[in-house]
Amino acid sequence: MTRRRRPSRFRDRAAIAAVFALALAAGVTARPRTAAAQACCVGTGLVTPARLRTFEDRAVGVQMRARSVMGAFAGSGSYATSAASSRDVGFEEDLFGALRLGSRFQVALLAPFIQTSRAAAGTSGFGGGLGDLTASARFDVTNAGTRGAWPGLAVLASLAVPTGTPPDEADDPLATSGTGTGSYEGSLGLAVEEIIGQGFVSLSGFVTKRTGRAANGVEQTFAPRLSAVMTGGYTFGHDTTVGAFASALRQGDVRDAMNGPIANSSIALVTAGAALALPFWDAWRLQTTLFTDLPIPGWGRNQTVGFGGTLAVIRFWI
Amino acid sequence: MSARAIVLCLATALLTGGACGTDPIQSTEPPSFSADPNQVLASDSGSLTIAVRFAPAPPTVGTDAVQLSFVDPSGAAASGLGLAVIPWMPAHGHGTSVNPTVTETAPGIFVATPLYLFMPGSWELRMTISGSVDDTAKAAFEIP
Repeated sequence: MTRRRRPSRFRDRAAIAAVFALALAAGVTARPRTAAAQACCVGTGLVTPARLRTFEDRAVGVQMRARSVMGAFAGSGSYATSAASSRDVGFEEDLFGALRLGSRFQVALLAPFIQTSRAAAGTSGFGGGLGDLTASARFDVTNAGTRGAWPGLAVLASLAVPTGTPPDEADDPLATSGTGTGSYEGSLGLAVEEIIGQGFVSLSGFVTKRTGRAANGVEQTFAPRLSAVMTGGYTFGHDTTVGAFASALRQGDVRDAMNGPIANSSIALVTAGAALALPFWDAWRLQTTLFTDLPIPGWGRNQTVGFGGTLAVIRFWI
Repeated sequence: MSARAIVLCLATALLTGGACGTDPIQSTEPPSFSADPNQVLASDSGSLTIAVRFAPAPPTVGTDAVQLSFVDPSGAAASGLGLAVIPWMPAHGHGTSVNPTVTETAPGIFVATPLYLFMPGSWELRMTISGSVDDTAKAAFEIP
């Protein structure tokens, strides 16, 4: 049996994490100004905590996420529940910061720390580390609620850098220390948002391309991935916002460098959930979601199906 | 791994960005394969027929093993082969953290173990055959 270890990469990731944490700490200790939120503009970032709202200049935060796998979709689209004796639970702590550059443009950086707990057939493990860093940008062509009946329109872009450990470079047999994809991922998207009184609805669509990957003597490329997120909700007078969301993703078959397309290697998944944003003190906000992937045969392919929740605490400056 | 150990590992992983580990594999029994193959496939050139037997059968999440029996076009065991086996998840673009050891237990019959198939989904066993025949083959299977 052969195992590959790359201890130097762990030191690199720890250094990156330390620098990022220091940068966030510097942001947190900056002197705040008083918040003056507008009811029209607080709802649309309900499920994207690293997004600045219309009146915000910058923000930092942490989002905790837990997800338990309850089954999986096969390549054919059939669904099977996980064995009762197995366990696959993922935890994630995302440190993020966002900064507005001008009235319409904002950038964000997110560092995920990922842990996985797995057990199967008498073997169990727990491990984790830094995941793939993600930088994102948003340009608001128009802001929702500012031009009469015209919806808000934004252009979105993101890049994920493979700073995490791909599963086949993990240090343990159950690959619990696998925290990344091993590929760069670039996304372009459009978001449309409409404010209706105290309510809002938004639809974001993305095209994502993952760079090819070569590992263990296998070389393959990935089809573009299409995804969409629809969110709707209601903002109360004190800016507390409740809402629901649904997301779907679909990616075509993988291509092998030697043998062309691989049958039944597409991926798909549909997720739905509920969300709550709760402002507290002057310049803080708590955002939480509960979600589940939908285990409906034919609605997913080659994806685990799970349920879980997120909890984000955000400090913002206006 | 106990809940307390998981909490400790969680805190350690958060602070260091590092990993924790996996409890030792408990099974020491040699794998037992059924007489009937789980699947029969041809190598990519068509010159070899391969009978695939998993243990346990069908394969499950965790620690598995596979027996691969090679016969030539005449139906005789294909001797003098070398074999490398790589588990791979094509939809996700990754393999396993440990590559299995391949042992020839009889002429043309190989056992690859351990297969640490750590998550459900579509997997492949990618075979590179050398020696008396240079060829490749791929066995695809699902783990619920």
